[in-house]
Amino acid sequence: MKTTARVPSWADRLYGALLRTYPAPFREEYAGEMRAMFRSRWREERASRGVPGVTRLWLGLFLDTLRTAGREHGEMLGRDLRYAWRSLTSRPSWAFTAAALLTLALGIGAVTAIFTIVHAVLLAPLPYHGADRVVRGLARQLWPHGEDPVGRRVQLGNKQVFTIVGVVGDVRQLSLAEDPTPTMYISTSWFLWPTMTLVVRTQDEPTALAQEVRQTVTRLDPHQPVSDFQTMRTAVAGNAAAPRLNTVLVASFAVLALLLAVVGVAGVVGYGVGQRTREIAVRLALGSTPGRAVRHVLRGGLLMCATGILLGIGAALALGRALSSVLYGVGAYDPATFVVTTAVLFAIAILACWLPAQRVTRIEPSLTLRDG
Amino acid sequence: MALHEDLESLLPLPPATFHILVALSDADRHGYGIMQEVAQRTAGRTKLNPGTLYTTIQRLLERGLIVELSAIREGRERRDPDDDDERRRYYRLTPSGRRVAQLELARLTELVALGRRAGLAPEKG
Repeated sequence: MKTTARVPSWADRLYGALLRTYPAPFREEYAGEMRAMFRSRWREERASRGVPGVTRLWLGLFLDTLRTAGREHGEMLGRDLRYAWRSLTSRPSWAFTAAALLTLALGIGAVTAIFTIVHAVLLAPLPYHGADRVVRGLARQLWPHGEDPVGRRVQLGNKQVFTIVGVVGDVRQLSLAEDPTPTMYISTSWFLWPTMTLVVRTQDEPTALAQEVRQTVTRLDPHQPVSDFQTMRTAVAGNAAAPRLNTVLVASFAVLALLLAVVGVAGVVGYGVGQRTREIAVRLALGSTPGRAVRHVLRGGLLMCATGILLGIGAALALGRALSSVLYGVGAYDPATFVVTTAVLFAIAILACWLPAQRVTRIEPSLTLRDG
Repeated sequence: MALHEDLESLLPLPPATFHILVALSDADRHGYGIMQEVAQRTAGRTKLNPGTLYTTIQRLLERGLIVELSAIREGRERRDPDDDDERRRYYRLTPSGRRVAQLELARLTELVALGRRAGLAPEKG
């Protein structure tokens, strides 16, 4: 049927937008004919079935585009990945690729394992339930049925008997990293330690209290010197300084491992661009755009990164398992750390591929092909 | 040209692929012509959309089952005087393409015979 109704410009533009979802090489080859076919179909449906026919045509076109454009992208990606794999594993670049993959896998494995420890030891809650109930450990140990300990008497190993005058919460006495141990506080009149620590609670600014505390102590005992006045906040921070330094060191190692992995990836992709300058020049001379050539190179790099990340996850699992056997409360598999680390590393890997791939845009086809 | 055993590996063909090969079996046609021929042969039940048609054409070209007739472009007016689009390209079935269509037809015939023998043939009203 020969129909002459004019296709409205919005319909033409909408179908043009649908066509843009196809990969560029396919579009360049067939978009003109597909657009002509669309116009013919539109005129045909409009003339024979009116608006319902056109509506059905649009529905069919949307579904058809969704299905076929997706499949084209998938197939193009598959072809590029196969080509990238062949070029990565071909001589002489396979040794370089293997070294980069190893660096990447070890880097990712180490980073993930290290962050698993950081997360488990320093960020996550303590690995036992109801940590607050561990306090008052000694009283509970001696009177497990909940009797009131005040007024009761206990005898130590040296036959000394003491009367309990009160119960206090358990204290992390030596270090924040150590669990509270059952402890007894004994009057200084019985056992005098060379140094004593006086803890004063105040609602005002603690440093303003220093002078008053000194005067009070001097009034009680003029021969008692008072030194090392510090706030509780400073004392806690001082105690946490060593673990913090350890964390910084551990994180530094992780960043260093990551840096090595990134340098490895960037090196391999850059090397690949150098090796394929002539091939890329031919592609550019035959009409490929620099953007497409960059994407082509990027796919190879990303394939390598994806392989490295998979290997790295395997390495991280192995390292995690080894660590879980020596560190209490650290599991071999921490999903949150795995997901976050892998996502961050993949983003960095894309950047590591993208930067050297930009060299493609500086290739001058005429010069390269003439000099080659 | 693909070898015979390679052609076997292409079976079963997707319906759109078989329709296109059949449409090209008796004449060279352009994309829209293929779509019209398929619609006519199936009494309007099958209308290939542009995406399905041209992605399938691309696969058939890659496998050497059809060829594009760039040489015939010059004589286009003689083939189809109503054709108003200069960009339309014509496609022709290759011997391999014909062979694949025959193999698929044999496969489908065998299936139909199987169904008939099992008494599954629809009653003729």
